[in-house]
Amino acid sequence: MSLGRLAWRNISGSSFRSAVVFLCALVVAGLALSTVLILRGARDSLRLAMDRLGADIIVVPQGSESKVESALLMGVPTSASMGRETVAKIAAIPGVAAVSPQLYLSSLSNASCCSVPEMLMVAYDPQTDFTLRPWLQKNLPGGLKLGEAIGGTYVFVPKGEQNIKLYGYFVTLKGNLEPTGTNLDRTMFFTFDTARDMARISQTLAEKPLAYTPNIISSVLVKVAPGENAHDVAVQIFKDVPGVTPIESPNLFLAFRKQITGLLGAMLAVLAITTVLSLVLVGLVFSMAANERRREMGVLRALGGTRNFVFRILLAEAALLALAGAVPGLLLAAFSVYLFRSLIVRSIGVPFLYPSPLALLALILGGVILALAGVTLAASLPAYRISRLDAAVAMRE
Amino acid sequence: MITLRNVTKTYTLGRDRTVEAVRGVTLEVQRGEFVIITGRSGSGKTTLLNLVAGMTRPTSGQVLLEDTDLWRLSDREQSLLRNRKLGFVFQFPSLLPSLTALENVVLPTMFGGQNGPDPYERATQLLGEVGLQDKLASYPRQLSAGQQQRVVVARALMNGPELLLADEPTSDLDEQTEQEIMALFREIHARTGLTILLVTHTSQLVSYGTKALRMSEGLIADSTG
Repeated sequence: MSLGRLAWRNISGSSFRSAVVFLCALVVAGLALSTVLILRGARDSLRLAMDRLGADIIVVPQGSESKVESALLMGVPTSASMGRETVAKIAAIPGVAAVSPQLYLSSLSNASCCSVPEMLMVAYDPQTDFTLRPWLQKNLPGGLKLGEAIGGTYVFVPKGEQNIKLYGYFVTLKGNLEPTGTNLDRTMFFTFDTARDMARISQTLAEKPLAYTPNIISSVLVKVAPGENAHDVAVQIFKDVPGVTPIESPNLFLAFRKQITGLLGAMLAVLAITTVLSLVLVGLVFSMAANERRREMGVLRALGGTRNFVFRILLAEAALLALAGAVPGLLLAAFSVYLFRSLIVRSIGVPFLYPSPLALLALILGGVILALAGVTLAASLPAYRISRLDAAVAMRE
Repeated sequence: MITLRNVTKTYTLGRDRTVEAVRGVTLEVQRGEFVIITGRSGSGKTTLLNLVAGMTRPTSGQVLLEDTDLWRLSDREQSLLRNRKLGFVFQFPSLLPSLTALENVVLPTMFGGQNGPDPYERATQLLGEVGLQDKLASYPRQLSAGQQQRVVVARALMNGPELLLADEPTSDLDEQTEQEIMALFREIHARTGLTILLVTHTSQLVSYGTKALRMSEGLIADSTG
């Protein structure tokens, strides 16, 4: 009989102790993975969203900063608008290398003239764009033509149809961007020309015409020249261009990042309290169990088990229980976070990106190691104490 | 086989309270003897047995098992010696509740690292010898007290010990089972010539042994044999 088998038989025969340790490992490991998945997912999501925008500064109409950020991250429809002449004013500021305007539009919900659910639509200027250009150069060297669009990961052509119908206008989906975990994944991008054409068609074919006004834009993406200080350029834009707010890239989605920081604090506090309480509980349970089993350990010593063997068998039991609890806990957490990701996004108010299978596997493995280390650490003190006892003392009532 | 030279064991119970459980005992047990030590509760019998087994360190004196001073050995060496040379039968239920009778008997083989014949085969044979061939897969809770003690005897014989130590092996048993267990010890001794040291508070059991000693207040009071 091996040590592992004996440990397994011992834990199988002690339902209360096994259940407590199993549940502690399950809860702590599951909670830890959920926390990591949500926080890491939110952080990655914001980083990817910023990378996707690809701008050093985003200029929005004054007072609409949070609306634009909400539109980009959470899909909240926005009516941010400013005159197109702003683009030239910003381009004239020293240190600005490139400027590109964007217009935020929204499809209609539950309307027969739209074949997709309500989504954010971004019109861009293909002449000046630098946000989508890298993807287009790689995947669509000819760029987007009139009536064509690219979508985020979750933009699909309705089943059985060739095109997406928006305001009665048929758009051909030419490709999908990589996921960001933000609402950009449910956003469609097309040119200003397509937006204009869509507005024209919507006058006669849509339940409600597309609210498009020529020479009106929602934001200007700014790229700063190499060697220039983005902050200085932003200050200059603020001074020289009235009615706008420049948001520097590091400050973009600041409200969301603050929310994540707040969330991080709260979740880490809950996790820390749960972990400490669980480890104390596991320690107590093992301490009680070790005392109850003093005779049993004494018998093992009498039969030829060394002190080290007694220590190892108790730790092996703890490790097996940790493993038995942590693995389902981690799998349950990974599955639950995946299943309820939309609900989580809505509840906590920040987007998040589910990790790749490889990253998830690494996180689960990390969780298993942490649970093993935590539980065996909690069990090590009572195990050490009992292993140091004289066999005769251990066997005494 | 066993030599105790002026062995004393003192337990510290509190800051200022000590109890001298064994007081300067000198004792020799020859190979092949079946020694029964009787005495009242608290006379030091169990402590004496624990000293012989190396399960508690003497406060003073020497415990020799075939000229080997047990307390000069490391924990590993001492454990190995216990595993290979000693068999134990305890007063209390000492089977592991999570293991079957057969697995309990096999248990001592996991510490010795000896490569002998199939341990399960030998354990089955031993359980047959103690009359439990039909209880191999039974868990301790499914066995009577007498049957459990028979399994313990089989476990004690598993590694072919040179010395069998039994601490009040019949104290929890009814009179008939007590006699059955004692008869089992006598039969094992007669058949194998195994050295047995048994302690009990029941003086009527001395007839089962080849030598009887009486302990009182930590001392060997007298002997017959």
